[in-house]
Amino acid sequence: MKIYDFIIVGSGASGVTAAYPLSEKGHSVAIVDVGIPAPDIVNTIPSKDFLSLRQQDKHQHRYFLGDEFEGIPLDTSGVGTKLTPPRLYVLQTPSNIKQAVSSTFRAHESYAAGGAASSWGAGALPLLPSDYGSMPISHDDLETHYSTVMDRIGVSGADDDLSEIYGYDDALLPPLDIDRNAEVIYECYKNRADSFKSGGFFMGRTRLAVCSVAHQGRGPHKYYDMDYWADIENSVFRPIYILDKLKKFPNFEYVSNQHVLSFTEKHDGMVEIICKDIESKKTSRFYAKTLILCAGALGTARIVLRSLAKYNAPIPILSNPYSYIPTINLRMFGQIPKDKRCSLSQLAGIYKPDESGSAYSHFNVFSYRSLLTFKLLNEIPFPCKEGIKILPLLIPIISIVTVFHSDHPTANKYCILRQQPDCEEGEFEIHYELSPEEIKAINDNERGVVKHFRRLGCIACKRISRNAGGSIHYCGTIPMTSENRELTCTQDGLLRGTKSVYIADGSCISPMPATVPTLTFMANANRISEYLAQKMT
Amino acid sequence: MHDPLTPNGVFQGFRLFRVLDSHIKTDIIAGVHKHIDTIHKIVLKMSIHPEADHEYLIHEARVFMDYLIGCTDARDAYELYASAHKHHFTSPQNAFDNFVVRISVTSPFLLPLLDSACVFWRPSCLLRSKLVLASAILEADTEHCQVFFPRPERPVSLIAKCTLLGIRFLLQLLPGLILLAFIRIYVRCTKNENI
Repeated sequence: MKIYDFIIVGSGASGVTAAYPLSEKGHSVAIVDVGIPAPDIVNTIPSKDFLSLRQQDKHQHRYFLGDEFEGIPLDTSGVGTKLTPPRLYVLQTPSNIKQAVSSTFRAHESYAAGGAASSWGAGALPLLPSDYGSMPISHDDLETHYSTVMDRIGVSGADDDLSEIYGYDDALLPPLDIDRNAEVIYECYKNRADSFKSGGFFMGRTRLAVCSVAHQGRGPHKYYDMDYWADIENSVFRPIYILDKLKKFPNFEYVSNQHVLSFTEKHDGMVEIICKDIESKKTSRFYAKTLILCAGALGTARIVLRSLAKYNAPIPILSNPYSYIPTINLRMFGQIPKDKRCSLSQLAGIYKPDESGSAYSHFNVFSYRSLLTFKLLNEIPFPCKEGIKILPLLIPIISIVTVFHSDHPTANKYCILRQQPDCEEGEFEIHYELSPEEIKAINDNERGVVKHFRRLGCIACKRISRNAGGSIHYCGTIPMTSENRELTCTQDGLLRGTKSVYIADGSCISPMPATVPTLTFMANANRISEYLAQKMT
Repeated sequence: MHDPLTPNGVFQGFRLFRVLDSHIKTDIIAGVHKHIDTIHKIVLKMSIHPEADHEYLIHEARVFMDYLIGCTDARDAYELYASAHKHHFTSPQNAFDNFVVRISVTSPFLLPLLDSACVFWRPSCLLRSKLVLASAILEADTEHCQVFFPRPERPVSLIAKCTLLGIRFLLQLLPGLILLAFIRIYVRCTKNENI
């Protein structure tokens, strides 16, 4: 029976980040995970720019539409634009794993190797001081870990107005070039920056987990405009790159095909991890001195509730409310768009109507250039034939603004594990409902964002709100708190009621910030992992 | 077997009926009355699954792609349409939706009217879903993708083109809605389905 120093559940952004310092310091570490690999099609996409592929590759339908044409969304599936056919595996659930049940929340969970961050839009910003809420940690606790993680994964960005809000980190790589659509918006913003800032509207170049220059054996970014389809030059960060580095450590092991069900703490301080093999469906057991849960906010919650037999006990769930707003960028009339492009967010910013900034919203600006046009045919009020003629004229002047809002725990946002006699996994139910006050605050902020974009020459066509859970950013199920309550964890990530079980993913972060939280999840995982490495030494 | 929903199918059925003995005719009429629900179900089933016929789908693809971008000879794209169709339209569809598609395919000159009317009636209807599917196939095809490429235009030209396309849409809309209303009444009368 092999006993590891540490077993980490999950190979997503938090899992690989937690594993790195421990493996580096020589501890025996295993990541246990379902680990669905990327499909073969990912490796067959030629390394060429988007337009060349469209004109030259006879087999392009295999990755643009998918082998089973899953990239043609004829229903309202709610899957985001970033989840193109080569990335759909990221949200695939094996047939013998029970999905969460909900009529109010669309839960997307990842069982892929590398987790949900394998399709991450790469937005990488730290928390604002107001985001820490009642958490027993502050910016000072995370600051060095942000820098460590940023250096490890490569984050590009500029010292601009966003530095006034988020600060500036020397670990930042030079910013990526932006496209013409974003350039005209940004020029207009800079000309009247003081006026915008006095209204609580701050904008800058998006900080992205992308190597704009060669860094840690990855990049530089080639501006092929294929970021939603392929990982060319590995310039956009994916957790699998750290996993590949971890596999080179002799003291590290990656155990895939294992669905972790629960853990038990033994009298001798050892933790037994009980899993089900995805293929053979047999039960397997692993042993460690310390268990670190990084299975995602929903996955970790399930494991904890099942292990502590806390059936029917409601725990909180948080998710970014999220909308996107297609706009017509009037300043792009007659402009020639650059073909050298990155598909990811071009500009980002925050809108904080009040001085305290507690109810701020975060936005990103995209162009619609590297996705296929047919997806918009059902969005415009024209027949398909006329739509095909109009869209190529409109696309160069369309800017898409996505707006994310923060989320706080309330009595109407909870999940529960129900025991079922015929199923050892149990049924995981989610109930999520925003209060009228929250909906009003979201609408007010979105109206404010639309107003400021109008001043920048971008006229909003409509506002499309996604279903609850559509952002795929979830957190706060086992919150970190200084109060001694069950189903919470301590400042160091220790799950209360246990001696050697730690939580190092989004589960312990509450409230949910408006900014994309992935970088924070990674920084926090690094913090907990370094603490544990030191403690064990 | 002839498709009973096309004029040719009805004609062939009528010819067959004429040459039968009168006793058999009486028996058939009585049988039809007795089994009217079963017959409706059979007709409905036949109209639900025309996609089972590969050649029919190839023909449908040809009609739709010709309408969308004037593409008349793209066997590879038609084949892709047929396979994509089999992946996407697996569950039975509404009889009225099916009938609109069948009319569009058998009488392509009505397609612009029905496409325009569907924008107002139900943008996610079967006809538009199939047209979007055909667009997707064309867009991922090296021969036809250029039609979909972004084209920067001067403001005046952009506004003029959008206005002309808008006018054409409006001119097609009214006759399209009238046609759709007629189809709706017809399908209701033949009790093909509760709409």
